[in-house]
Amino acid sequence: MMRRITYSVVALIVIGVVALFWFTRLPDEEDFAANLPVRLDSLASRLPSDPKAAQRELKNAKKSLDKLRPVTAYVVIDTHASKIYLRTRDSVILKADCSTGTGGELIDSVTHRRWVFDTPRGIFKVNSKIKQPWWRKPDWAFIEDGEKIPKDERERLDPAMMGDYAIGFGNGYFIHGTIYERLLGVNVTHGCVRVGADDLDKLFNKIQNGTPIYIF
Amino acid sequence: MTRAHSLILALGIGIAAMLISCGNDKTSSARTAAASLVDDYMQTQVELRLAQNEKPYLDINFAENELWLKLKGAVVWSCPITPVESDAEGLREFVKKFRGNDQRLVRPVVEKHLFSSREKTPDSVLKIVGEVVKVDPELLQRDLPARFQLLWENGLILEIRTDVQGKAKASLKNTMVQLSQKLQKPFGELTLIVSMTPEQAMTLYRVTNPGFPTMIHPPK
Repeated sequence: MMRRITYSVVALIVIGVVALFWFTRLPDEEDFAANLPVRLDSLASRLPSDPKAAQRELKNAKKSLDKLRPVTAYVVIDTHASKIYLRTRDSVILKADCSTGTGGELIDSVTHRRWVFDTPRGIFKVNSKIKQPWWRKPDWAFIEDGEKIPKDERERLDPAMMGDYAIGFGNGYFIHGTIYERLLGVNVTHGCVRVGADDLDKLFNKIQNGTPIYIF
Repeated sequence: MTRAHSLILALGIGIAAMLISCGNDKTSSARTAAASLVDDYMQTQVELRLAQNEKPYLDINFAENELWLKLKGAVVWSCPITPVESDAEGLREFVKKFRGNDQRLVRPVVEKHLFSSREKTPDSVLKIVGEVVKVDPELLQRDLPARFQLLWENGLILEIRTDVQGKAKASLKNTMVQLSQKLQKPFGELTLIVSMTPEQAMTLYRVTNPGFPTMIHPPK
């Protein structure tokens, strides 16, 4: 009887340990890494055996990589930490709180039009710099407030909402000022990037059309 | 053989030995230079491929002593590597394990685990903000990590610690993960513990989902 109990306890412990390993094991890396099978040997075989030719090949590879990197200072928008930076590879020139898109969704119950208020991720360029911008309220701004969409274009214009400057980076998205500075650092916007007045002033004067903007 | 002859012979042998050893040195330094060139080339090619992808990737750069998030080759987030426990030998072991027997230069994050964290903004504040901006307050909340881990294959773990006084998210899972890691330790699990600011940790934690590509640069 005692032996049977001992065997059962040992079996249970073994099953427990195996189950613990099984349930906490790492998933198969190949599931994720299907497109990343970069191995040392396959790359090394492409390098010429002649040292001078190999040096040349390395130089070309580095040149190709450098071509992708920005040569001037660039803007980085970290949507996770709600921060905006003007930086180079080695140093940060400007760091400020910002607000980016909520990720929320709005559906017009009448027309069933749908908007997702996300800040786009990727690589963009400054394509316009506007002083004293006026906001032309889009349809969603009226729908969200439960108001009728005006027929008169002038009723859409708001001279205060965007602050002193707007920096456009395509598709109607801007880095601009805000009348809600207390909300900076929280992702409360409809997709644009809001920055406080002082920081926006510095940023506006340090960038040009064509300055790269990296959003992640 | 005269004494002078013996002396000349000994001198000749000495010079020949010196020349041979000098040649060996040259051969060995040429080999080292070639190996370093190959390594540099491969790292550059790998990064080129990642950069062309236009998606962020993590560069654990022991040569520059920095953790970098990069997008199309540009650094978009950086943090000095401040190991809590590891020494130079530990870092070299980390690189060796990362590359593994199959000599991989890029590995995706396979898992991340948040042990403890604190909410960035009080829920009561976000409730008011949510009403104003007409958004579910939960969408506005962010976690400031106190401790989390990124895991790669081969039992490789990067543990991030901050000075946040965090609360455990799931105590049972934490215990399971810790127990599992203790059991795997004899089989070669390796953890590098790095400290950073809560804000830096928040970005790193939110970006690095499973599948996130990671490359590594060995110490100089």
